[in-house]
Amino acid sequence: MMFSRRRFLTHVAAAPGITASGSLWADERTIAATQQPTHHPGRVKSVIFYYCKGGPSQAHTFDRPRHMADPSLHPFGFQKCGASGLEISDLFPHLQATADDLCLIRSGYGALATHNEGGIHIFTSASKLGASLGAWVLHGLGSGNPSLPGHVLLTGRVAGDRFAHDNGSVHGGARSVGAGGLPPSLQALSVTDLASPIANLDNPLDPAAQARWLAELRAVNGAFAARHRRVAELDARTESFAVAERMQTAAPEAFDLSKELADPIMRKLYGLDPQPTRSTGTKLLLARRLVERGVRFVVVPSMSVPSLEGGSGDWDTHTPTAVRGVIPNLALACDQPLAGLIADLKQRGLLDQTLIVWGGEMGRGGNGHMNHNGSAFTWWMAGGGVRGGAAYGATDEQGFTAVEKPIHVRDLHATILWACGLDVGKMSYNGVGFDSACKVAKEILA
Amino acid sequence: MKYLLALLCFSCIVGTTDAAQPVSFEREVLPLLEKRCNKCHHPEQQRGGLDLTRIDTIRRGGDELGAAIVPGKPEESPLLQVLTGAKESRMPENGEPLAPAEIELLRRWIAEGAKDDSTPFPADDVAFFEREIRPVLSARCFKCHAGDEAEHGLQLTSRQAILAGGVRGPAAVAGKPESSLMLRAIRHDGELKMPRGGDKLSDVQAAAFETWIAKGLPWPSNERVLAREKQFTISEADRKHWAFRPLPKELPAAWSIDAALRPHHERLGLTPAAEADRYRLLRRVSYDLIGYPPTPDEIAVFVADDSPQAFERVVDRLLDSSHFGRRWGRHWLDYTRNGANAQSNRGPAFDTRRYDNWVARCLNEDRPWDWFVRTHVAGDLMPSYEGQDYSIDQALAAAVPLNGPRTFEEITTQTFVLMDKLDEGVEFLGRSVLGISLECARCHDHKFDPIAQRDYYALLGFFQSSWFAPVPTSTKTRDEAVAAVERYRNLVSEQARHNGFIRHASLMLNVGGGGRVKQWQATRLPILAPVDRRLRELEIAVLEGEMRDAESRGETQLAADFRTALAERHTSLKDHRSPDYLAGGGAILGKYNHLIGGHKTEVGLIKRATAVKLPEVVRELEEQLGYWEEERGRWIERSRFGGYAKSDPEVVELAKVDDRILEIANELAVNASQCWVVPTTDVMYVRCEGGLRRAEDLGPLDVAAKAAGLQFNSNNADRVWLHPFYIGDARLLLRGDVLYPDKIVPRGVPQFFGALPTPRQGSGRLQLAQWLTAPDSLQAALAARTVVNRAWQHLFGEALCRTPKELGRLGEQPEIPELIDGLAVRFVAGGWSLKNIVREIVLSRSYRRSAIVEDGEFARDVDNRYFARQSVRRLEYEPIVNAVASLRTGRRYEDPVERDAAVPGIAEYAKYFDAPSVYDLLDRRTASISATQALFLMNSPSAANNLAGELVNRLGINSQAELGEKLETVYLNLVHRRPTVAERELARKFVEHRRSQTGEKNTRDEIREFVGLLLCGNELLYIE
Repeated sequence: MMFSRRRFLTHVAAAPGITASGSLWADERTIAATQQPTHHPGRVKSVIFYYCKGGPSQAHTFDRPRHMADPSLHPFGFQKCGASGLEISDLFPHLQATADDLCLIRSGYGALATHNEGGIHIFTSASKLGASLGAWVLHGLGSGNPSLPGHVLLTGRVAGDRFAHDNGSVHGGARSVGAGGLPPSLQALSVTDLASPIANLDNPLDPAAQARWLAELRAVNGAFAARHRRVAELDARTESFAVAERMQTAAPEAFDLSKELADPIMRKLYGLDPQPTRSTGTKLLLARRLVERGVRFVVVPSMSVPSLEGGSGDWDTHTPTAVRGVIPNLALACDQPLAGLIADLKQRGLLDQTLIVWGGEMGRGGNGHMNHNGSAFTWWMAGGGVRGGAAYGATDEQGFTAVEKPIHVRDLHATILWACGLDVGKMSYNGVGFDSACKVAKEILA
Repeated sequence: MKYLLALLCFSCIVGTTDAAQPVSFEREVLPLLEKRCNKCHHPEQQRGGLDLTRIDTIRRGGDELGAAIVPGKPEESPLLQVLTGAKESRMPENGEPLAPAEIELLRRWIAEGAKDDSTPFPADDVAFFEREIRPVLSARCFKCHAGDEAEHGLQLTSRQAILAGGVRGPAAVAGKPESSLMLRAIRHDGELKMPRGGDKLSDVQAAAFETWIAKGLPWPSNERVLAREKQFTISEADRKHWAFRPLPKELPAAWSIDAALRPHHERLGLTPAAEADRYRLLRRVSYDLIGYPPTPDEIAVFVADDSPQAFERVVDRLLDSSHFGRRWGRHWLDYTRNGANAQSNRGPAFDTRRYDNWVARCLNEDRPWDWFVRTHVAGDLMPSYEGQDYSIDQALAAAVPLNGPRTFEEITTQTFVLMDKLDEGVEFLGRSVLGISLECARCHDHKFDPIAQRDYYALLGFFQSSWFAPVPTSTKTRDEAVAAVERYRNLVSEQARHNGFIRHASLMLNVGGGGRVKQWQATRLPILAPVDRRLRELEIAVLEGEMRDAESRGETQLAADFRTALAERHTSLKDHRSPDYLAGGGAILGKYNHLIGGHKTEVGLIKRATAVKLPEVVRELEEQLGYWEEERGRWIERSRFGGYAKSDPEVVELAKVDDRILEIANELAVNASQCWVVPTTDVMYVRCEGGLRRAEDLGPLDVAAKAAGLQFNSNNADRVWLHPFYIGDARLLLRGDVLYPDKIVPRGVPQFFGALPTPRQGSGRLQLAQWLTAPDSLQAALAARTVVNRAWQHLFGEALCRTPKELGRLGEQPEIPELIDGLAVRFVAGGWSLKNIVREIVLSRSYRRSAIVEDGEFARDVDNRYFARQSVRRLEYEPIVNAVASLRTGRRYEDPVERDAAVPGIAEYAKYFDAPSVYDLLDRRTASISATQALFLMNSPSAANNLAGELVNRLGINSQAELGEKLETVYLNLVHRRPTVAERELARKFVEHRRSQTGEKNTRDEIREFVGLLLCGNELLYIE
């Protein structure tokens, strides 16, 4: 049976992550990015989410508490930075210098105070479909480059990294970057090996023969798909072969860093030489290359780092030792690369259309901010038309609860989607959409 | 901003008081006393005979110092004296002193005459409060809004606290019900709806609150604070929750799955789909029951069988197949984290394959599920299924709760490690067996389900009283098992005791000799320096080799990097300094091994030198490696024997004890401190009685045990765990934190479910197991619901309750709870037979329906929540691999290990087709679709291409055969049906197209390529 043009287009809308057009039984291909109309003009075309695994302590980083029960548990100084005078911990000298680009959101709440569930929750909880934020952004904006996955999770270490203790991962695993009830093709491609980010790229067939093969595959799948027109997975799976085919050429190019690596300015900007920033810098640089090529959502998770006091750890800092020993290295690992990313996007004129988000699955509270806390956490955003040099909301004087302009996890999702030109009130799939309590915090956006 | 102000006011009462106003007892003094003093000085406890909650008892005072205050004379008031430190004993005991402003407040209040300005209420109004309000507050609100860490900072336990409110501002305004947040919340008028997760208060109750607030919140003057801690309560809503109700006593005679669904279909206007065609039905039921597709022969038999019993015959054949136990056993294994042995730090290294086989056998023999569940709690204490007094397989099953991923490292010395480990046991009991989240109650009473924090610790006691030990695989009787465990534990204790002795004696020798170890170490420094220097030179030689190599390959950037590194090495060699060997007692010596031999991500110098072909350097590096290893041994020996070598005459006694330690290590069949190391095949780890306990829990009579523990375990009293035969209760930990141990909680079951009926023996696990499946109990009902809900999930692609490991109130409400109940009743009535209930579901018309759906029908039930049709679902990982293996070899495999060996690239299949995790209790499998999966199928040699070739060979298709002739064989083998006319046409076009493209006719290639397409196609991986 033949694959009708009309059906093809219907399903393009159903699974925009992997859209392409093409003619059957023909050897020529045309590839075009989808132009999905947005609900209102939005600046953001791509999001880079630097995920801090473990729940970073807002009190030691971007939200200095006014009252500390035990000041010895808060050993890091803060400075008022930039023209805006944002208070930022001395652990982030580079971000301090670019403070006027950051919007600190200090009044996050509604996180879950356990890691696994918390990870799933901060990435997926706004919609009733269990779909991750990345999947929704990709669904709403459509693919920016059909030859690349639109949603990518970047983990791994570069060769020679003797600093990081693991590759970085997201709490909640695949579900946190999954498609939930949206078409499965919207889930993130997970990169674990930076040297060979995508396996099995070599195809024995020449391009013409491959295109023919794909057309044949569509035809073979046709009868089954026709029986079950409402099962989106089937089309998504058929299309995944087309994406795979295009990835064979597009991916090596996108992931090829050789030009940047030869450029001393880029090496310095992202911190590609010093041990602590080497892998994070590389991944953020890759993230920039990917968003430049139309990838919509890139998650870069933080890695475990050595503690200054022995051992290692992530942002889940439960003890005074972890606070003193691990937090400085975690900050060190991301400070320069993130500041470099902001500067790089700015110089390329991409900062306005790329939203950078920094945050974890929860905040911290209790004595010395060493416990899990869902009632207060800080995320910051930069680029993407957010109001730079601003602090949104505030916590109580001990920094345990968001009290001023509290912004729920689901509101953060709604706000990020709004910045992309998407209105959660109008987004749905099979009739299921977002939590009606979602509110957009427009003050965050300039 | 309003919230912020409220909060500031609340926390700075003292600071904001106007000095001109008299101090208020009700609004200022009492809240301060409550906050800082009345944890101990309240009517029930009255520490030192003192009750500071009422003015008259304050005046009366305590045992020692008499009246706490002298009105008008602050300096003479004992209350102030103990707070300022003017008099012993200083208060608050073990707490921060009061802030100066707080003391000043009390001083002023006393100076002003220490008056009670509390609002007096008419007796009738107070009676109204007692009758209408208080019972509701304490039954419905104090679960969260009481104590120091009240939810959102709001305590509802005193009038003043209600007026002051929490994070959201005052909860009530006296006399103004309309502006009282509390009233809006209990009326569900607005975003805030209280009580959370419980049933709403009745209109009558809400009206009483309105009256009460309008009257100005009357409150008894003799009991200002009703509770000082959260109070766990069980509500009607808990009892009425669908999964917590008793099962119906019996079902109507006409009950059936189809009949239970029918009213829902009628209500929603759903027309159930017709029965699936024979091919698809057979394929579905084969995959669902045994995990393998039907063979062409089986297809032929079923399609030709016209009798009404044809399908029933197929189902019975599949249920009798030994593959049934393997397939359905796998569903259970998803809830056991089985299969991760020999992971470092994770243990004990159970024989996971043996357990897997045993599970398959139990299911094939259809052993009753209630027995099967009991086995996982107390299999080591039960007679064997066959009637002997012990079964080693059951003892293995009972250890399954220890399968979790949390570490065993330091488990005998670190309290929190053990508590985390035991937590996994409670989690398993809750999630895997009962389908509820017991583990939530580790830190606090469960916020949604009727599980109190103390219930958690009551259950934890069973796990804490039990542990694991190696026993010989040949163990047949309980006596043998008990003896083996005892022998093992005695040896471990003896070894620990000897180690303690050596450590102590060595310390004495070392100190007696004025730091003999350090002195010896210092003599080594001049000897080691030149060896280290030589190693640095060798490193330079390797780097030079690598630089030359890079240059020769034209990698200028890399060569430049090497040059930089070399320059740095040369500089540091000029001023060569050995590492600080003395730091950490020679710990640095271990690093030589990493540098030379390699470690984790670090490539060792030997490998690097080999790679650039420097045989001389390699030889010398190997010598170096040996040298540093020996040196490290010497350092360890010297510090173990107080600065002497083991052979020195001064340590003859110690050397003898050391020899005994080595002897014990040989006698022990396992590595006692690394339980994750797989033991030899003649022993295996199983569950046994007697666990570990905290050193601080050892009573004063156990001084000897405590001292022994200190001696051979650690020098830190807080960290010691020993006494590996502990049978007793667990200690409640405040907020789940090991640093805050609280009361001992007697072992028992959650109070919601009643009590353990029989007297406990030993750890009590056997009694816990019997309780778990006690006939007609709520817990047995929950366990049965959990099983049938999951069985449904495996047969329809989605469970009736979509959160199969959370049937409690945190989970999703099922649309058809009465169907779960009906199935559960049938299941229990059928003797907890899994095969019976699977058979009943599979033989229903509902199961047999087609998955094809019209648009209108689809729109009426998008998610197929009412099962008027079957689902299209992707095969799980195991059936996919089964299918691949049987396509290659034409066989079905009894043993998954053998099957895996028959699939080249099995690791890649595991990665791309979502093999199960062994870290989580899995309630559903992922079915990912990704471009990487497609790349694997298209491009990896292990995938479609080779498989197609092998299949063509196996089917004996010779080079003369045309695709058209073989199409039926191909379709029957791959998608288990015959090709349609359209598909024949497609194949014809395919061949025609191929020949015109290539200009050749190669029939064998044509067939192989077409098979390759089907292998990448969707129908292969999906059942409908």
